[in-house]
Amino acid sequence: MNKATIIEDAITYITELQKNVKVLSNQLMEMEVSSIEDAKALSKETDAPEETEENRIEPDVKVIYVNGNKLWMKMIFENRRGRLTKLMEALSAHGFELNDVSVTTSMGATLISSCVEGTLGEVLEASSMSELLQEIIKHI
Amino acid sequence: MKMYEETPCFGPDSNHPSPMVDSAIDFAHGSSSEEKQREPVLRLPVETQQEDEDEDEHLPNIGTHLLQEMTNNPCDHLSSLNWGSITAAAAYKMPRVFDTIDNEVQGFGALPNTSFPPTPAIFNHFTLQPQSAPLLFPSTRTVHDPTFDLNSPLGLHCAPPLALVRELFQSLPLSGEVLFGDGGEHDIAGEGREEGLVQVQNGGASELRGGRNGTKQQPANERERRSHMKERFNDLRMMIPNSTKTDRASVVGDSIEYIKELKRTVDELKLLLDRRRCGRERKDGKRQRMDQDQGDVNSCITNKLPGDPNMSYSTGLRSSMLRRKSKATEVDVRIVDDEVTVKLVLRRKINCLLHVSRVLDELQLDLQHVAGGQIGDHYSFLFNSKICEGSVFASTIAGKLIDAVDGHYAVAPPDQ
Repeated sequence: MNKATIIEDAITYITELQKNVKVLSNQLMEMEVSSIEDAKALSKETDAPEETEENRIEPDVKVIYVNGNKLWMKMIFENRRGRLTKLMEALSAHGFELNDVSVTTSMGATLISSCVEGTLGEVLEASSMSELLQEIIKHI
Repeated sequence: MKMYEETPCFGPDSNHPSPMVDSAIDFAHGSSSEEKQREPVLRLPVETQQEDEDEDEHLPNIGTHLLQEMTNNPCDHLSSLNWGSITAAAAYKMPRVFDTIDNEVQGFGALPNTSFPPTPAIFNHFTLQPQSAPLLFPSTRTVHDPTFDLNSPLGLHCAPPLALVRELFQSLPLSGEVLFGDGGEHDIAGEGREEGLVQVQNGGASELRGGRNGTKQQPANERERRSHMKERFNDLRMMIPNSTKTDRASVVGDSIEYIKELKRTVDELKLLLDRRRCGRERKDGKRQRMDQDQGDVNSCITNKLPGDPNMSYSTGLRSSMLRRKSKATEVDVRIVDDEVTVKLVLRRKINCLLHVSRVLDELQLDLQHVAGGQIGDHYSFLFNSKICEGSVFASTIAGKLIDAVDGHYAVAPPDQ
């Protein structure tokens, strides 16, 4: 037993495992194709209840000025798929970036707590940022 | 040392893990003088330790762990191989080395057919349970070959960890089939064993390098072997996805991690497949198709993979984990049931939150928690999301994330 054999065995074993993974994934893919119809039927059922939710979550925005071009903001809004991405895109489009972010989701609501900084070097104002955020929430 | 005074652990039924472990550990760190008192056979594994470059010094330990990974839960189809034939084949190829050990050590009268010594109990030192012979050979739980009993004292006679490598080699699922079947590689391996054999017969010469035979051919063979080794290491490095450093120790370390990851992925895929099969067959059974074999449903639910008696795949917990690294980014993806946790560490931020968010949306993952920020000169993020629909694989997620983040490195200015 020496290093050469170990290394060679390792190479062989890795190839073997990779092959297994490929075979199994292919099998899984094939099975999935045939069961896509079932999945679609299920998803249609699950989407409907979200829209008829009775407890709507009111969006809430708080912004505090920290210093220079840095603000601290806290937002609560209803959790829907893809909303977070749209929020990021909107902020990015306005030239803001989020630092030290914390996002939590619970009971259908999303809470974002983060520092907001302007990338364009301008001094930000808490009130205007607050208004902007509220607008964004309405549109996402 | 105290090993010899301990209760003898001969035979397949004895079970004395702790004294063995302690003794084994003591032995591994034992002094050379004590070793010499016993058998010349102790010199067997030392050969590779003193080989070649300095960077290989700690390689034997890594090699042991590498083999450890390869032998725990070998692949499904491999488990169907006939262990008897493998051990016979392995024994055939390595008879002389272990013959000498056998001659020296008494008490293996219980061994039926081969002179192949049992796997040493020092394996308990790693992760195996005391009576875990089946762990090494999951398919042979019922075909327990007493020659591979873990609780033999053979381990006591193996001095440094390389001995474990040698013993572990016996239990490699591929050893009997693949390695020996490959003619080209066999020569190298055979050559190594020959040298080991020579050492044994010489009673453990201190000169373990070129001075063995003293002929002019030896350096040339050494050079050949070194270049061959280099080639092999490069091959191995090419195969693993996370290779950032090129030194041999890192390659071995990374390959251990990669093998673990591959095994996890195989288990995960089997579980998913089984689930799907069961789910589908259950549905078909409800529709009461004439050509549906009801027996499949039952067999599917109770289908247990040989060697994993505790895990019924269709009801098990899906779990997988893998890591991918690129030059400036590290991604760690873990999937447990329907939740995906991603840890991301990157050098430059470049609005990664947005990109990650997009990728996760594409993969139909619902972001639940995000946390992260700047630490020192890099950024660290944790994303927790739920699988909404469709199937996702950790490798896909990791790949897409790395691409998304790295791709934007090129676009962004160097300093931000």
